[in-house]
Amino acid sequence: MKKVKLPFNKTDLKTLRAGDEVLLSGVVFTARDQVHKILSAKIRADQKKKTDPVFPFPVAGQTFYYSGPTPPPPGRVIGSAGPTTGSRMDRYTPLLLEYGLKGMLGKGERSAEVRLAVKKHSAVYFITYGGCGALLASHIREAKIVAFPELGPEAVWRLVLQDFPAVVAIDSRGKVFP
Amino acid sequence: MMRQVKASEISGRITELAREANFIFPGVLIRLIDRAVKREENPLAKQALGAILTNIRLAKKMPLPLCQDTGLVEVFLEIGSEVRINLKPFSCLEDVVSEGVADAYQKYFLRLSVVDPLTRKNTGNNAPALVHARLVSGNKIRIHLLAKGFGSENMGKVINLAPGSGCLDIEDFAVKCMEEAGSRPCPPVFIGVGIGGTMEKAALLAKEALLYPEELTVPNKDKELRTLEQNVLRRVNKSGIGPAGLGGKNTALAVKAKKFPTHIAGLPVAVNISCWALRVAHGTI
Repeated sequence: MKKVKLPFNKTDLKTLRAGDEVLLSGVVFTARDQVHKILSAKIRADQKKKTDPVFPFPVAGQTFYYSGPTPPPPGRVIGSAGPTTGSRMDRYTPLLLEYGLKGMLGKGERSAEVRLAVKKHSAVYFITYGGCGALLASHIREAKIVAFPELGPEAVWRLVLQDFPAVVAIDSRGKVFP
Repeated sequence: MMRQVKASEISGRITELAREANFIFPGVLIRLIDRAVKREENPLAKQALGAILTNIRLAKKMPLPLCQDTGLVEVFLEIGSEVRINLKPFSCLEDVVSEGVADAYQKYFLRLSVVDPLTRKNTGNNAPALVHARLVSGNKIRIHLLAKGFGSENMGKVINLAPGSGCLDIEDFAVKCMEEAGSRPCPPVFIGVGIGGTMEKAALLAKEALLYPEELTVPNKDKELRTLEQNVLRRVNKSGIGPAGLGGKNTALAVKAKKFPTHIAGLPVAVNISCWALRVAHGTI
C-alpha cells in the first residue's frame, strides 16, 4: 500500500504503477459533468482570444475527484461522497490535462484518447470503490464549496482526504489496470 | 365500504420509505454479498467486497446515505379499489408522491439530483418522482419505492428482437449489455431482464424485476426464465469485470427475468442494471 500526498510532487506521481493500491492524503477538488463542460468552454473561448485561462479554482497540478457528495448533515464535514463514472468526462479530459490537471479519481474505464493524454502529460487516473460513499466520507477531513455553488450537487468542493483508498487505473506511462 | 386514506398519510409514508431505501440495505441481499466474499479468490476483488460490507454498516451507523447518488425516485403503487384518497383540488397522485419525496430529500440531507433534461436546471427538491400505479382489489395501498442511481441506470438497453429469436439471443443481449457497461454500473450488480409486451412494457418489466430483494435470492418458478437467469449470471460472472471493476468472479449477484405476452411480429427485450447498492423499500397503508 503506497501513501500518496496530494497535490503531487513529480517524483511521487511517476513511481505509481497501474494496479498499485494507494492511500491518498491531501487536497482534491470535486468536478463532474457540468464543471468539465464550463471549464472546457472557458479554455476554448480564451484560446480564441489568445489569453491564458484563469480558473475559479486551482487546476494546474491538482487532482479532480469525480463526485457529487450529499449535503453534510449537522456535525459532519461532508455527506456521502463516493466516485461517479469517469468515462462521462472523457470528452473534456485531454484538454484539461493539457492545461495542467495531474490527477483524476473516479470509477470505471476510460477511453483510448484519455489513456494517451494521461501518458503524454504524465498524469494519473485512480479508481475507488463505487457505491461506498459512507465509507469514503469517513476518509474526508475537511470540505468546503469553492466554486459554482449554483450548480447544487455539481458544485466544486475542496476536500482534504486522509488515507483515502484507491487503485491506480492508468499510470503516467499510459499503462492500464485491470 | 370505502376506506378513507389521507393524501398526507401517503406522502408521509413515502418520505420514510425514501429514507429507509437510502440508508438501510436489505438484509437478504447482505447474505448474497457474504456469499460472494467467500467465493471470491481475487484479493483486490475480495477487498472491494469487504469495503461494500463496511459501507453498509457505516451508512446505517453514521448515518449517511449508502451512496452519494441518492437517485431518481420511482414508486410503484398497488391501490385497493376500496380505498378513497382525498386529494387537494387540481392535484393528482403524482403530486402526493412527489411531495413525500421532496420532504425526504430535504429532511434527510439526500442529494438533489433531478434536473430539467435540456436546460439541466435543478428542480431543487429531487421531485418529481416517477409513479406507476395499479388498481387492485382490497382496501390497502402497497408501496414499492426504488431510488435509482444513474451510474447503473445509464447502462440499461432496449431492443426489438425478431420473433424468431429465442432465449439464447436474449441471453446474448443481456451479457453484451453488461460487458459493454464494464465497471461503470458499480458491480457486483443486479440485472433485470424484461421480455415481451411492447418496448416500454419490456423496460418496465426489467425495472420491476429489480424491485423485490427476496425474489432476487430465489430461483424463478418459470422454467425458461430460470434457465435464462442462470445462464446470464454464469456468463456475466465469467467476464472478469469483478467487484468495482477490479477483476474476479463476482460481477453480478443475481439476475431476474420477467415476461409478458407480446405480438406475433415481435420480441421486445429490455435490460436494466442496478449497482450493488439496490435502494428499495416497501410498505403497506
